[in-house]
Amino acid sequence: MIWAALLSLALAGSNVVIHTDARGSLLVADGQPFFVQGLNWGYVPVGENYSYDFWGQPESFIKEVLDREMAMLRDIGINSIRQYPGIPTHWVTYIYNEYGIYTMINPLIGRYGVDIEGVFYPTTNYQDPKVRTAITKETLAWVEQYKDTPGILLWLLGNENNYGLHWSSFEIEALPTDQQGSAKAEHLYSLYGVIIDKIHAIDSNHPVSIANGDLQYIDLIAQHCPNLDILGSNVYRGISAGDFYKEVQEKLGIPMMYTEFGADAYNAKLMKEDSLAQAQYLKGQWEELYMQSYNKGGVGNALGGFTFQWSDGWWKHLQESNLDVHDTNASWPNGGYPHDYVDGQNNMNEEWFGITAKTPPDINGHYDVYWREAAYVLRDIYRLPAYDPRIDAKTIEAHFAKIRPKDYSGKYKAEYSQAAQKDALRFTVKNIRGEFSFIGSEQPDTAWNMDHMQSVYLTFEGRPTEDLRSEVSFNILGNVAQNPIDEIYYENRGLPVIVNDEEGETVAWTDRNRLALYGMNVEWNNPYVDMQAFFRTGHYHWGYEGDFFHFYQEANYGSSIDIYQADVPIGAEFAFKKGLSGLKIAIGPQLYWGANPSYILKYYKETGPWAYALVQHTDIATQGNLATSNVIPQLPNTRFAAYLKRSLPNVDVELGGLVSGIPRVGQDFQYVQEAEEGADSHFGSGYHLLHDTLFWGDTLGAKGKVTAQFGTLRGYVQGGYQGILADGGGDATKTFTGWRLKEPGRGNNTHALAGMTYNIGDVQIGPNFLYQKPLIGPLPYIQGGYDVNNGQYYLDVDARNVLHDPFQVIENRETLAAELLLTYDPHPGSWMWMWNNDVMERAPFAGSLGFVYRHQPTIRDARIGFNEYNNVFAFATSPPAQDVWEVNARALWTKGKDRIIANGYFGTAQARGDDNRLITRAGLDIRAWYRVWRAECIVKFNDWGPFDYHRDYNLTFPFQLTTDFSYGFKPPRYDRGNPRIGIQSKFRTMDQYSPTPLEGGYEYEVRSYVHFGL
Amino acid sequence: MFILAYSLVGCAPEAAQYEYGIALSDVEFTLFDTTEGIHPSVVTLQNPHNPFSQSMPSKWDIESAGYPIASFYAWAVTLAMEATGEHQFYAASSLHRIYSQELCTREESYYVRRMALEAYQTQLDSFPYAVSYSESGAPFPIDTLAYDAIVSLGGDVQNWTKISNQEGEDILVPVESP
Repeated sequence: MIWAALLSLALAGSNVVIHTDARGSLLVADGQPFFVQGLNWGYVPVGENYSYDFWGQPESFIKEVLDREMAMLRDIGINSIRQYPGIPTHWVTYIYNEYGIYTMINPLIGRYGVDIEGVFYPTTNYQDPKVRTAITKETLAWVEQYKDTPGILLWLLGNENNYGLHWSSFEIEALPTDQQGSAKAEHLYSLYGVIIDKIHAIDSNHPVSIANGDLQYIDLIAQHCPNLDILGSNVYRGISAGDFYKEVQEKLGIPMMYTEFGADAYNAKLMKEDSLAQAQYLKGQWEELYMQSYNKGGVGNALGGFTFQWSDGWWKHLQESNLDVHDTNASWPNGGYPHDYVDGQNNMNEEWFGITAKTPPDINGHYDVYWREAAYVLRDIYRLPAYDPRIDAKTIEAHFAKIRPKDYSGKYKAEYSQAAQKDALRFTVKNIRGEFSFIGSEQPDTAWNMDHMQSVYLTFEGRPTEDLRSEVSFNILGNVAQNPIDEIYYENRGLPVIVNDEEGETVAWTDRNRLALYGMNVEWNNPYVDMQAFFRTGHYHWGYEGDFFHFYQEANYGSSIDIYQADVPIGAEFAFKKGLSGLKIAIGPQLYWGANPSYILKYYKETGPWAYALVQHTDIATQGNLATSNVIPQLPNTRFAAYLKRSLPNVDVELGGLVSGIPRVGQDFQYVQEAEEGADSHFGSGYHLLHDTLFWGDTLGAKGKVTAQFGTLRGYVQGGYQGILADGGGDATKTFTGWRLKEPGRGNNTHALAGMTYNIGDVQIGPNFLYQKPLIGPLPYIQGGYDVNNGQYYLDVDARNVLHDPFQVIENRETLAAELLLTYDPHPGSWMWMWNNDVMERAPFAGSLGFVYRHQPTIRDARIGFNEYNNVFAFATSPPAQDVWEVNARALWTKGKDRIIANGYFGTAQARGDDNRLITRAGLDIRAWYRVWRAECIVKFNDWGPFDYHRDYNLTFPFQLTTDFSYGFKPPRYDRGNPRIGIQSKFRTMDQYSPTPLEGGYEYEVRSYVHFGL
Repeated sequence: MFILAYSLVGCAPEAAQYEYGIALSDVEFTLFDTTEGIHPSVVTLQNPHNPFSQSMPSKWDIESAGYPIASFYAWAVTLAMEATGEHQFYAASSLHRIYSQELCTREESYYVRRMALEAYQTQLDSFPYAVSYSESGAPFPIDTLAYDAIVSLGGDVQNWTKISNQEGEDILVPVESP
């Protein structure tokens, strides 16, 4: 009778309703009772992350993947998957028609930020009417798009949004701390209530659910969501959810389903894979769901659940790095999983929740999955039809008793070859990259000639234990070409040199430096500390975690360290956990380029609206290894900083204090004062020369910054004073947008910054201003000599420089600057100013145009350079006081992963050495990626050449052109040396200012190359 | 924190001092090291009595001013920073004048003479056939001048002897080792 009644409820087409009677509730999908045997399914290859756009891949690729994976899901018995909006409707239908699998569409309701009028807000303020309107509008648009699509199961709103209520407002801040969460949650759930009603109004064929974080705020759900159809919940309570079902029934009186649940397959206590435990948890959880489903004598409100998840997410720890490393870092503690829980330690391994393990992708991006015990267990479980009238609690108990996860352990191990994999993990060749080039070139003093070069990079990975991983890379040279027109390159360490043999005869030494240690990285992750040791592999700064004066600088240098063969950075970083959580230590011979051997300690904590940090940096020796004049050596230092931040509604206030330059207290220095008209001065220079001694007050500094956001208007002001010795570091953080004007970092300054951004639709207008002035100005070069009139000899005065003086005026020269930055970024979720925006941008078109003007009324002190013998020296003086300006533009056109990226500049610039010529230069860099093809064109007019000494000595080329066109055997990746075959060319013209001063001269190079790699 | 406290204690700011020119007539000779002004010694760069020790002075300006002590310190620094026969010769010449004009104490005089002799000899041995230049830019040999100076100081020239060439000019030739 019941089935006949249910059938009568069903309408033709995609229609899902809830049936409830005294025996409980069940879902009826297209006229059939439907126990939700769901799965959180996604397709992200190893090496990719959250930005991977599966549904943006070619249709043929998607079809191949779906045919392979959905067939497996169907074989297991999975009847529904969870997908975020973005899945094209025809694929929803395809999955349904071909495999009988429904799709639950899951708008996120601002869970990970919200885009309003072109501004992306990473924290969603559910109290803000604009936010509520934007989210409602977006969600209803999704519903309209999908509601008539065959295969839609239901609507799921949000994803644990109750765990992300982090905004501030004056009303909420005024409440006692323990009430603030509930006050915010009221706004979240009232929005849910509004959206639920609106969805019901436009779609009566699909129920509406929410993905709550467990049962938090269930009373608010009852209050604000009276028309909620199903309580969905992400539940990680271990093998049993306890009274979950009963509480939902009592407080809400509606059916429930798990939108996420399960267990990870990694034992954090034993530090090894434990897929058997995962299967045992899932078995218990599903048995409970069966028991609590319709007509089993229990609560009867369980509709089923969506197991989390299909395959491991290798990207989840760190999210943007180590993407091809299956990290074993546990990120949160949960006593519901006692098999690997230790009080005070994390045991939930986010990268190991797959019921299948996955292999690295093949050349086409396909990977294989291997069923863990959990997948087999689910298949066995689902063989029991939950709504068969003959099934009762006893039947369920008997059915589950027969399922033994251990029976499948051997199968999984055999199929995935777990043991073999582990052995392999102890020592593997991770990558081989070979670069074979044929190079032809012609230069003014060298006729056309050909040469060739072979350079091979080998990367080994070692895992002596589960928590220790290391990578070591070597470079091996074959022949080293002697004819590249850019004479400095990584492989030139192997160029022949002429030496005297034992008999004193000169001979060519042709096989030197054939093997070099290219890079090394060691990671050790244990319950107490995460350690990373690095050698020529990068690390990030600590600017966003309390390092307000930027002691620890970012060290990602790209190809620069290869060009100058610099062994940087080198050191180790420790991030402590448990009782020492918040403490970080970095120590090493050169933590970032130019750093002295040093250690840096930082303790950073966030407590409610407060955050604070203490940082200490001490140099323990002086750096003797300088590879390029691009980097200014650091003077020996011991420094301390304190930081305090208070977040107020719409406003953040940051304050910092600094003591820096302690080792240089007591040193003498010179400076000048302008002499009065006609007065005696130093050898008639117009300056009085003075000397003074640095004292403790010169080590002090302070800085304050206020940022505010009111709707689409955002602004900040910053002011700082840093004593003569109070050096900080360069600011690598970003405030609101991609402004170029930053605080000088170096001591000996007062500075003020202010800027604002205002959005009009997708266009952002961003003016920004800087004023900075050194406390002690630069020291000009003054030629000394003998004054016959007074019989006095005046010493030369050399410009101050880092080699001989305790401080300098370089970046901190007096400057009054303004910039205007216009940005068009219709997809702020892929922010234009992210470091990896080239590959992350999702907008079909995004662009920016910036203009910067710097008024520089004084000179600066001298910088350093290398002479012809490669010895470091200080220039005698600096370029004159001159204003400079620059226009910068950036544009991206994207379609999936295909894209065109253009960056251009036009403006004036000064040399780094002491040449007076102000150059006016322009350049444009265009890169295009289409499938496996890649093209790049760089054109520069009247600009410096590629090396440091070009800018030091102001050596320019009238015209420079570089082109590169290649075919890849794999789609290009930002961080990989994928196998490619291509042709590259370089062409330059010369004039009197070029390294070879030859009017009408030119040089060029053509290079064909093959790069192969794993 | 200990380092910080240690560094801060007792360091109060002092008023900046103006730096004036150096009265060359007031520069006094103080015997600092008997190798000062003699290649390859660079000890003069650490001599606190040398007013030019921190930067390369305008040697000809000082030389032409006519104060041998100032000249010595200027040439000694110049020699230390850039070792040439010319620089060595004028360092020796300055010592010679300090000695002959009795611009040092009697106790120092003995050492200054020996320093001058050694400086001249070094010029011959380390920078043979060195030349200097007249105001018009014409080169002239200084080795014979050094030879004569050693003789005038009552010293014995080592390793070199003076002969006349076919044009009747004095030249130095090395003494053959026995």
